Amino acid sequence: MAAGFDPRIANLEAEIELLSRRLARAERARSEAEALLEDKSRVLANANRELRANRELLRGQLDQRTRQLLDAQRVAGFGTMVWDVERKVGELSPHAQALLGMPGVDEIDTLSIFDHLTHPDDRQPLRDYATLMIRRAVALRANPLAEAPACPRGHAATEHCATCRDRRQCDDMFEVRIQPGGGVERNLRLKAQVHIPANLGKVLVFLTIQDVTAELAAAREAERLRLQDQQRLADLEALTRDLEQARQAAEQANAAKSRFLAMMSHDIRTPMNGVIGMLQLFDDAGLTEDQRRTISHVRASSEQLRMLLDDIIDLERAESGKLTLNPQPLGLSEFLHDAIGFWQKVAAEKGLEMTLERAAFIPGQKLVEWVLADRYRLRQLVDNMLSNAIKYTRAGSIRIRMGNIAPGRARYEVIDTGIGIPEARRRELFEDFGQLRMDGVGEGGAGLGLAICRRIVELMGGTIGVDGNEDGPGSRFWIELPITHIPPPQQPSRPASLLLTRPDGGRPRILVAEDFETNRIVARGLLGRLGCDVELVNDGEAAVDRAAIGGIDLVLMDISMPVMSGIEATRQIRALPGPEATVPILALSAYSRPEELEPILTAGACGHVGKPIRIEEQHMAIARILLPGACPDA
Amino acid sequence: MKGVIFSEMIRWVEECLSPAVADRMITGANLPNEGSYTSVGSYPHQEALAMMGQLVEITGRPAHDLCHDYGYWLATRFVQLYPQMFNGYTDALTLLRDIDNKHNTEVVKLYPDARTPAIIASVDGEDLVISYASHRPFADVAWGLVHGYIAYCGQTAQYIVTRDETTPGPHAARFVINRA
Repeated sequence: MAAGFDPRIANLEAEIELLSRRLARAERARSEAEALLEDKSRVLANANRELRANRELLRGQLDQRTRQLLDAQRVAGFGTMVWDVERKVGELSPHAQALLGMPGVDEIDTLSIFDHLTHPDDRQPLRDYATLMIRRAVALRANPLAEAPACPRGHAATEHCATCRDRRQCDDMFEVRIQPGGGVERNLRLKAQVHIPANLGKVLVFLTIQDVTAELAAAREAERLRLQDQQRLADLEALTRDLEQARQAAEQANAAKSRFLAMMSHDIRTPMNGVIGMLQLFDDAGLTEDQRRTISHVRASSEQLRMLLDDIIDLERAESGKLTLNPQPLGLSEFLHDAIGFWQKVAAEKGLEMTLERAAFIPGQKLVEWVLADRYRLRQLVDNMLSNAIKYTRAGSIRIRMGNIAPGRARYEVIDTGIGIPEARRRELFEDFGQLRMDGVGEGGAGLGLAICRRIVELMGGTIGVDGNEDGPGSRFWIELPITHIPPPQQPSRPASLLLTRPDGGRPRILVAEDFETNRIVARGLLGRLGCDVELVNDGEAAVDRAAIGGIDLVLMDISMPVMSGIEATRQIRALPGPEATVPILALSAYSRPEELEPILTAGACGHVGKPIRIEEQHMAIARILLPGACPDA
Repeated sequence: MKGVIFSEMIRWVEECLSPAVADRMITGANLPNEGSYTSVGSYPHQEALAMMGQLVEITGRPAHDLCHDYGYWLATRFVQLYPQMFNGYTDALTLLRDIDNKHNTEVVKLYPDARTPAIIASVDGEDLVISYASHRPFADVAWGLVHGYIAYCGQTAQYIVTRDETTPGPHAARFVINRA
C-alpha cells in the first residue's frame, strides 16, 4: 500500500462512483420518462385533433339530417311542434309556422295563441286535448310505468312507445278547423305523443300537424258519390226487378202460348196424318192427269201443313230444353233418295228442276256413306230447306249438293234460283217467326222452319247460314255438321219389287193395333199394296188376345190406345207362353222421340215406324224386321 | 409490469438497506438497462425477479420475507404517490374490499396496457376474504401490501390476517382478515 493512503479517501471515491452510477441511472430514467411523456403527448394531441374532426363531421351530419327532416316535413305536408312541459315553451318547425299562418314564429310560450286561429266550435275540444296530453306527460314524468290517463274519446293507448319502450302513449288523433290570418278555413289533423328523452331529463309533447283540407274534401266528395251511386244502384236494382218480373210474366205467357199451340198442333196432327196417309192410297195410275195434279197439290199442301205442325211442337220442345237427338246408323244414299224423292215430284209440278250432287267440296275428301245420325231430325232439315226453296222459286232449278269439307265434317247446300235474300236480312231468317215479308212473293207461313233448323243444327254441333247464289239470282242455304262415319251395318238389299214375302215365300200376316179408324184404313191399304195380309184391332187388349192365338208375322202397335196401351200390350205379348211371345213388334209413333219410344222399346218392341205411314219407309222397316233374327227382343 | 414496481424496489433497498446494496443488486442482476427504471415505463417482470434474487444472495434472507417486506413498504408509498385513491378511508376492511373494483380500475385508466392481478374481495360472515391470482409470482408482495394497508389505517392491533397455506405457489394466495 502506498504511503499516505487514506482509507477515507478511498471510501469517498467509492461513494462518488456509486453516486455517479445512481445519477447516471436516474438520468437515463429521466430521459426515458421524457421520451415516453413526449410520445404520450403526441398521441394525445393526435387524439384531440381526431376528436375535433369527428365533432365537426357529426355536426355537419346533424345539420344535414335536420335539413332533410325539415324538407321531409315540407314534402309530406307535415309540421311539428315540440312542447316542453316544464319550461312551457314550444318549438314550431318552419312548415308548422306556414300551416298556422305564423311565419317567423319559431317559439311560442303559451298554447292559448291557437285560440284566435281556431274555429269557435273547436276551441274547447282543442284545449281539452292539450290538457289531456300535458296531464299525461306529467303523470308519466312522475311515474314512467303508470297507466296513462285514458283518452276522453275512448281511443286505446298503444302498448309501448317505440322510443322509450316502457312509456305508454295514446295515439289519438284530433282534427281542428283553423283560419290562419283570418283567411280561408283549413282542416288540420293533430297527433300528439308524450316523449321523455332518456338523456335529457325533460318531458316533451311531440305534436305533428298535417293539413288535411284536401283529403277531407275528397272524402266528402267520395261519400257524396258513394251515396249517389248507392241510390243509382238501388234504382237499377228496382228496375231490374221490375224487368225481371215483366220478363218472367212474358215468358210464362209465351210458354203458355207455346203449350197451347203445341197441344193444338198435336190434336190437328192426328187427323192430318190420316189425310196424308189416305192420299197415299190413291193409285196414281188410275187417275186422269188433272186428278193426278190435284192430288199432288193436296199431297204437297198436306206435307207442308204437317211440317208446320211439327215445327210448332218442336219450338215448344226447344224452348223447354227438351229437344234431343237419337243417333242411329243411317245410309246417306237411301236417306237422300227417300227425302228428296218426294220434293222432286212437288218441284216438278211447279216446273222446277231439282238435282242432287254428291261430291267432295274439298278435293281429296272421301265421300262417306254410313253415318250415325238422327234420321228424323235430318229429314226435318232437308224437308224445311227444300220446301222453302220450292216455295220461293218461281222458275229455274234447285240444286242440292252434299259432301265432306273436312274429315268428320259434312256440308249440305240447297241452291235455288229464287227471289234471293238481301244480305242485311239474312240473319233474321233464323230467328223464331222470322219469315221475310217480301212483296208479292211466296206463300206466307209461320216462319218457324229455319228457326227450328237452327236449333237442331246447333244441337248437332253444326252451323247454318245463307249466302247469295254465286251463279245468279237466288240463295244458297247451307248447313255444316260434324259427322260420325261408321262401317256399313248388315242390311237387306232393297228388293226389286215392293211386295214383301216371308222367308218361306208366303204372304206376311201383319196385325195392326190402332184406335184411330182412318189410320187403320191407311195401314190396311198400304200394307195390302206391299203384299201383306192385314188384321186390325182397336186396342192393346185385343192385340194381346190375337197375338196369343198365333200365326202373326209382325205386330204394328200404336202406343196410345184406349183399354190397354201399346206399351202394356207389348209387355203382355212378351210374357205369353210359347212361341207367340217372340212375334216381332214395331211401334207406331207420330214423333219418333226417344222419350216417347223408350218405354215401348223397353217393354219389348224391336223398332218403330213413323206416322203418317210412308210407304217407302214402312217397306224397308218391315223388310228388315222379317229377316230371321232381326228382332233380338222377340 | 409497470415501472413503478421496479423504481420503488430500488428506492426501498436504498432506503431500508443502503444505496450500495441497491447498486450491488442492480449490478449483480445484469439488467439490460442497468437499473434505470422510470415509473411511467413498463418492463419485463423477470428483471424484478432477477433483482430480488440478487437481494436474497446479498442479504441471505428468504425471498418470501423480502417480498413481504417490500409489499409492506410499498403500501405506504402508494398512499404517498396516489393520495386521491386513499382519501376518505379510515377502515382497512373497506379499503381492502375496494382494492379490486376501485383501485385496479384506476390503474387500468392510467395505464390501459397494464395487466393487473385478479383480486377478488368477498365478505364471508364477519370476515373479509381476499383472493389473489396473477401470472407473476408476487403473492408475497400482495401479502405485505395487505399488512401495509392495515398499518396505514392504524388498525394493526384490531385485525388478524391469516394466509391460507393450502393455496400453493407464489402465483396465487388467499388472505382472511378478521377482527382481533
